[in-house]
Amino acid sequence: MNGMDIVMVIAIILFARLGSRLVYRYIKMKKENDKDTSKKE
Amino acid sequence: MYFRKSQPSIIMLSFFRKIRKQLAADNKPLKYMRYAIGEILLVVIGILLALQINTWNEDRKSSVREMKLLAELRTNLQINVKNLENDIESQVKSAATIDYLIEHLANRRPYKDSLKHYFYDADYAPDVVLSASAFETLKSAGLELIKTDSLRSAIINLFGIDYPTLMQETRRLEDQVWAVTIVPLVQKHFRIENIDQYVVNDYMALLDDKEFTNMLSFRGSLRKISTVQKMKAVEQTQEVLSLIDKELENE
Repeated sequence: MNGMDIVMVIAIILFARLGSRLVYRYIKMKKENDKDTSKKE
Repeated sequence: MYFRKSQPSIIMLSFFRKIRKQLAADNKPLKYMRYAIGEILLVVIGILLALQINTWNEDRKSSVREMKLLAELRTNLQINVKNLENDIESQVKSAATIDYLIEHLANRRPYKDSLKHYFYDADYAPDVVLSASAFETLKSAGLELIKTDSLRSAIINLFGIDYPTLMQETRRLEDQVWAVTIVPLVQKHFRIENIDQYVVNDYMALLDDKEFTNMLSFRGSLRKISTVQKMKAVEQTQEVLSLIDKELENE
């Protein structure tokens, strides 16, 4: 396993983490939004 | 122009419009976008850092390898200088012996016992043996491993041009006359008793044989030419050696 392979593994981990965080945040934001809307109603 | 919208596209559009309206209520999309850009930037920075560390590590490894190969090359070149200097020494001795024998035969001096050693010494022509194992390793590892341009071109010139020229010239000079002229004359006039003694069969016949004297003087001149070429090769090798020493000191 050379240095470039390690960099690729790090990149894949970081992108996977980024994807999961973005989706998680989006869902969280959507839920909060739904709560706010139901409170207003 | 009239576009007829399909049922699913109308549903999708109204769905996105609803989300946009909901999020725009307290500026949430902007917040989310800012957060997403921040995350993406972090990932990019992380990958760039990993790449940088990888490049730095590769450079360090290639530098260590370069130093190792240069040290090997230095050992090879030191061996070559030693070999060439030994060759030069024996060739100078051999050329002097040939001069002595020519003078002895030309003046028709009487036979003496030590002549059998002189004839042997006159016949000895050392082969060029040059060590190039480190250069072969360097070639397979990639010549660009040597970062200093002047040193790289000096090494390539030495192993690619100077040494092959020396070997070809030296071999060519000796091979020209060896089989056709030298061997028949040696077999005609001498018998080899010990490994370092050429005993003359008929000294008077040898004195009268102009072909033999001509052969001797021709070989004497070849020996001198070869000596000059080897001295030049020593000089070139020492130049490269000093460049390598400088490079190794700098690291």
